[in-house]
Amino acid sequence: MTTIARVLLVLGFSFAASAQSVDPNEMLHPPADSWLTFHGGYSGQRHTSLTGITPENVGQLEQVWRFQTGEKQQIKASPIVAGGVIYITTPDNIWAVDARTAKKLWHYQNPPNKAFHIGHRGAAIYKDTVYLTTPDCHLVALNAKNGKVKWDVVIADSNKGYWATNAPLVVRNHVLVGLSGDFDNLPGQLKSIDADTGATQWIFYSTPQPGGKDSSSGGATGGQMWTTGTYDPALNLVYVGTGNPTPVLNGEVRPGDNPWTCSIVALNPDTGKLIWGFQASPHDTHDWDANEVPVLADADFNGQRRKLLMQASRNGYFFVLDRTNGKSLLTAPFATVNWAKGIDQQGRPIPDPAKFPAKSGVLVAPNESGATNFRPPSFDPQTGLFIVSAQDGYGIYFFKPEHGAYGWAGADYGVAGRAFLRAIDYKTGKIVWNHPIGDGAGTAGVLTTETGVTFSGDVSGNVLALRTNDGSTLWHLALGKVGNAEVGNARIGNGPISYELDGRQYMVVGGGSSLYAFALPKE
Amino acid sequence: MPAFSLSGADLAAIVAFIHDQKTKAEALGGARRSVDAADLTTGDAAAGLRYFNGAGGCSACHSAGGDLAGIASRYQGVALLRRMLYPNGRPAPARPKVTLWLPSGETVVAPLASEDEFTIVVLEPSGARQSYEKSALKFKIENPMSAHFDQLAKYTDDDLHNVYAYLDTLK
Repeated sequence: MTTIARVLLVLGFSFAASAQSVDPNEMLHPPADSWLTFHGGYSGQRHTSLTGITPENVGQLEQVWRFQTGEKQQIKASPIVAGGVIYITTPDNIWAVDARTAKKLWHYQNPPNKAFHIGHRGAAIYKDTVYLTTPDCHLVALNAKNGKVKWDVVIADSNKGYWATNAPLVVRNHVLVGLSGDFDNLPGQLKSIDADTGATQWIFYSTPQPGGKDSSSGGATGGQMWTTGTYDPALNLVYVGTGNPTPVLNGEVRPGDNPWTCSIVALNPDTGKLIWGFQASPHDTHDWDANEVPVLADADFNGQRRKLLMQASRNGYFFVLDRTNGKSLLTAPFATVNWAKGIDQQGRPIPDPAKFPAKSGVLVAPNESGATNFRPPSFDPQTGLFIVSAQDGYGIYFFKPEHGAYGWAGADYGVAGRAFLRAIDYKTGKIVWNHPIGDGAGTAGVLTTETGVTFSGDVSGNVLALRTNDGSTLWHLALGKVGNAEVGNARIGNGPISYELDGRQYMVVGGGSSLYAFALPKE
Repeated sequence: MPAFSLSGADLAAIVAFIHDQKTKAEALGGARRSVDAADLTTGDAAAGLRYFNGAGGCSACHSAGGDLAGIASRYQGVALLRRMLYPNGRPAPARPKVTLWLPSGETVVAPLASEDEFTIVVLEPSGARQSYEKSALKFKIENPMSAHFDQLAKYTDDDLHNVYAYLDTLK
């Protein structure tokens, strides 16, 4: 090897290492070799501009590597990718993994705790720091290169019933973190934490503190913001979905619409000030969080170029809003619904009191797990299709005064469901295609590519590639199977992502407690 | 309120009972609550029987003297209601029936073990599982549970409480 080659090698290595530092401005135009937020970028479209994988060659995809966490928990997190490194999480854990080989670079484990370990949605990155929320409500800042703790701050009191699964959203030096908590009457909080110091910059409360003077929510607490929001740099607005009110099934003690629960809120990321709010489910009594991704697109609507926000909400309705002001442009059901009497002038479904939880039970569609849920959808700008993992399902809901007014305050049971990947025309709300994926509800998110491929998964552990414009199957692979033998439950629990390294496009998806990477064969 | 004439021991027992109820309620915290069988008795069994034999179409597959004999002795309350709406759990409902027309000309009829978009797995008489690629053959799956799922869109809440009340008489 010549001296020059050695120098280049060293330079190349140091370039790769320094590329692990993410300039917040890169978030505005994520490089091809990265996946910098839960959604990849700020829009929430989960759409890759990479063109290596096409409908014609997707059938040649082969598994490049598999990373086993060794934990029992299913991967529900979206990996983030920067500088050739993947960061993947489960509750209390984060791993840094080489994005080419799956070699483990480091692993950080939060101390054991008794908080609720329901799942984890992913990490965030800013400069050379990676952020992890923990079930016991810490935000831990880790050195991206070696996993050493830079600082560790408490973001809420887990003894009061808060827990954290959130993949933070970084906007400039703001690390926006949301909390969870359904079993106690707790106000919904989104916190902005200083990316460098861990200091709290502001807190947005979606509902007031209980017992205080602010009665704007009608007595409701809740409205937790446990999923990752989206951001419009031109408007400087962050969009976040808020969760259900508490008490959850007892609506009698919290009359009115209960703002801002089950809502999409637009916030100024520098101040935390509410700019506008839109309620997907006024006066929810069915646990239908509106935490689903508020997807942003600039696209034609009724012949006019508009700044749109789209959400396929857990309550079964697809909403299109003008994201400059939160005004409704379209509301249409995308799954089986029987709980609304109609749509009001603001574009909000009107709850039918006959479907409020009752002593002897009422049959409600959708069920508690919803017409969709945390699994992220994708918007394909080429076809104008909003593709979501949907469920047509029913549940029975109960409430009687003896159930009280604290936490769940009622009972409900899922009855049955059918799972689909469903493509919605954003201009009309009409279903363009419907691809069955099994009984119950799906858990895989959706990724679309610029070349017209849709990646997702079914309920049986198959990773699927569909043709985006008609939903037909192009390729599938049963994860966790060798021949016909099952080697562990490998059901897909996250949204697929994509990045390009050395001119090769990778598609990475979580199955069971492993990550799998696929690419076309090397030429 | 009338004056109580209770002994000290009775008073102490009542106080203890109230404390006990309070402790139990607090122990529940914000957790999901439960449903008592008595909560579900709002229906009309006669109307339920009419629906069962008429609009509901239940009698196409079920009968009080056959598979449903004694159902209310085996399931009570919300367990009976859930079993009625969509039978899963134990014992497992009958498996869907699969008919396969193999390329060899052979026809196989067997219970379905599992299925996805690409594969059908059937149970052989020996108990072994045999997997078939859907793309390689013609097949038909008859799933009696489909009727239960379709019924969910047809029930009014009164219908389901009435059918529950009727099934609750089959002890």
